[in-house]
Amino acid sequence: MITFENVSKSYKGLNVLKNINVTIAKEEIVAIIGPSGCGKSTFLKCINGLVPVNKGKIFVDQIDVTAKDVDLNKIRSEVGIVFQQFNLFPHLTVMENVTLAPIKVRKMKENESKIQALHLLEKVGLLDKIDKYPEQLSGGQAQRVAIARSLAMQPKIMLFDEPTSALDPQMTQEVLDTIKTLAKEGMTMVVVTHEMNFARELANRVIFLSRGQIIEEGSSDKIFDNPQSNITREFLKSAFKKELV
Amino acid sequence: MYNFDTSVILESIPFLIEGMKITLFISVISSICAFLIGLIIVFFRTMGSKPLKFIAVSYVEIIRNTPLLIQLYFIYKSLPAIGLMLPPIGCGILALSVYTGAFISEVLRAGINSVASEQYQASISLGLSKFQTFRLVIFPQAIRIIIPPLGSQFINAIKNSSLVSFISVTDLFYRVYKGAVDDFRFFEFFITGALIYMVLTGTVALLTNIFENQFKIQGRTAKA
Amino acid sequence: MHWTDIAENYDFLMKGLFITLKLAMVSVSGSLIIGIILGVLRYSKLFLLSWFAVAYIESVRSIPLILFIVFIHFGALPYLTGEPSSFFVSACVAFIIFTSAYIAEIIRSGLNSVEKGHIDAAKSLGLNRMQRLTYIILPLAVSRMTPALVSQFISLIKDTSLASTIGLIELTRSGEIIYERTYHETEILIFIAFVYFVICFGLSKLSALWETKPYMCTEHREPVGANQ
Repeated sequence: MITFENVSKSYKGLNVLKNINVTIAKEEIVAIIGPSGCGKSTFLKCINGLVPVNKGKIFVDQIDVTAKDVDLNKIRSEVGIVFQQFNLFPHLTVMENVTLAPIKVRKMKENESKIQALHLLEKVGLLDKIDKYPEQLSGGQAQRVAIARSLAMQPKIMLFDEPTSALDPQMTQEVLDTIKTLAKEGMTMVVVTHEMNFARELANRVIFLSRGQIIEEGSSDKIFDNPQSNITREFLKSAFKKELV
Repeated sequence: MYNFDTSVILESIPFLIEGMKITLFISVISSICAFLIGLIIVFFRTMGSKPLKFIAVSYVEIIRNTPLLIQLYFIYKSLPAIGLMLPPIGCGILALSVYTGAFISEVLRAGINSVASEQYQASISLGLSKFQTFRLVIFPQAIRIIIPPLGSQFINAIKNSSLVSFISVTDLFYRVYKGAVDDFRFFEFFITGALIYMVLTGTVALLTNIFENQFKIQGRTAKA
Repeated sequence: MHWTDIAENYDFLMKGLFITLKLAMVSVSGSLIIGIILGVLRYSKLFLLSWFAVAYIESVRSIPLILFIVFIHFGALPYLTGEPSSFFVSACVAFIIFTSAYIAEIIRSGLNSVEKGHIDAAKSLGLNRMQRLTYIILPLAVSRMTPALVSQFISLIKDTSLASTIGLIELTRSGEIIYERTYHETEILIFIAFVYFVICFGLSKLSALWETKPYMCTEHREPVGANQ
């Protein structure tokens, strides 16, 4: 579904990603973990072409995202992304946020897209907020609307960029529950997260990134119970300590 | 094609320079007075009693919402009626100070308001006095935000000072216009005049930039 | 005091006011069109065009308005057309050239105020460049620009008084004509100032109402508390 071939990315002389090779299969749920500033977000944003790479190729559903003549808008409409800061459109209501892209990009009929939006908002538990503006929502609610907005495009892949790191614990749980429901439905997902317990419970596979390189990858049990590298061990130790507090 | 005659300009350079000096004199003096007026108005608005606040707000609204030219004519024509005789250049400086002062007070107010009230609470909680809070906490943060708009108020004062030529002050614009009419050389004189104004305002903009960098807070991106 | 001067010349003054308003309307429309084009060009970063926009905007903004008015009326327009220019046309051309530079800057900073996150989100949903501009960037930018645009229009209304200096009989000039005859300057000037004040102050209060819309805040918002 997603393949990285020798991908490198540098930004202002800093190597954010160094020679990344990885393949993510259909219906796989991959968690990306690692210290802050290790290139996790960049990794994710390369997949839908929000961040252009310097070297290497990325294939999404057999289409080369890094090719010059690629129709990025088409790929992006197949790949949903949920941002750390939600990025809901502040001038549109919840309903309009969810229906804008289906109507304009997918050319869906307005009624159809509204019915779909109602289903999705019901799924994330926000049917009562359809006429509210993003500013009138709590962080957790906003993030769930953002998830519904992405799902409205019926994507083949969902990307999550630290979806809960701007939220307090209670709201985090709401959002994590929503993501778990999606996982059960067989969506292909790549999740960048700080929530170790969540990563462990949810992911089929965990990739540990540090300083732009993949240090270790494997099943979540393998990474969490039996990490091979010292860097991974150190990171997990401090990460779990934080979560206990 | 228009026959551009540089010799008329070269001949008139001393004449124009003399006007430029008057323009600069009026703008500098007015800007200084305007800054003082702005400070007083802000003080009235933030700490003054109710009637003082009302006076300050009325002043700012009336001045900002009427044309400078009318204010200038008013000072020039009506002050003598109440026995206050000022030379034209004095009227010009007075009008420009009053006008620019209202705008500067708004700049200062925005700067002070831009410093979050948490900062105020934090420094009061540390036991700093009101004055210390202003001097050590509010002012250093506000100045960074105030400098660029203050610079543009000074630039506006330079441009606005051109109106004093309508009350018979022989400033730069007056001389540009007179030269153009006398020699019937509009293009030459206006382009030269425009260039001189550009140099004056450009210099102020440059100085503002330099000055602003002096007050940059390390590690923070300037964003007003 | 001679307030009867105003009543006696009321129709004449109102005729002047009408010219002032007409001048303001035409200049606002013209400078909006040119200002939007220039602002978008400067925002576009298309090398030559955006360079041209920068040069235009920066030089116009550093020259006094009166220089444009007088030069256009006595120099440029007569030279281009070969005959004396009408007061009204000269004034309009000068105001449009002058104000469009300021409007262009407002447009550009409005466009720049749209957060990268919102543009990224729009891209990620597959909206193309034109759709992003139409449905996301422009609506957000326009609502944020409105207060600045209104205050620019207020400045323009005040600036129309400068058209009196080339002889256009708008509000200020009609007042002058009256007091040149009666020598009662104070009353007339106060009345004229009052008329300008009502228009400009009214407009600024109207735009203050607009400013309270919730989504106009350009600042990055931290998530609100858990209990909603």
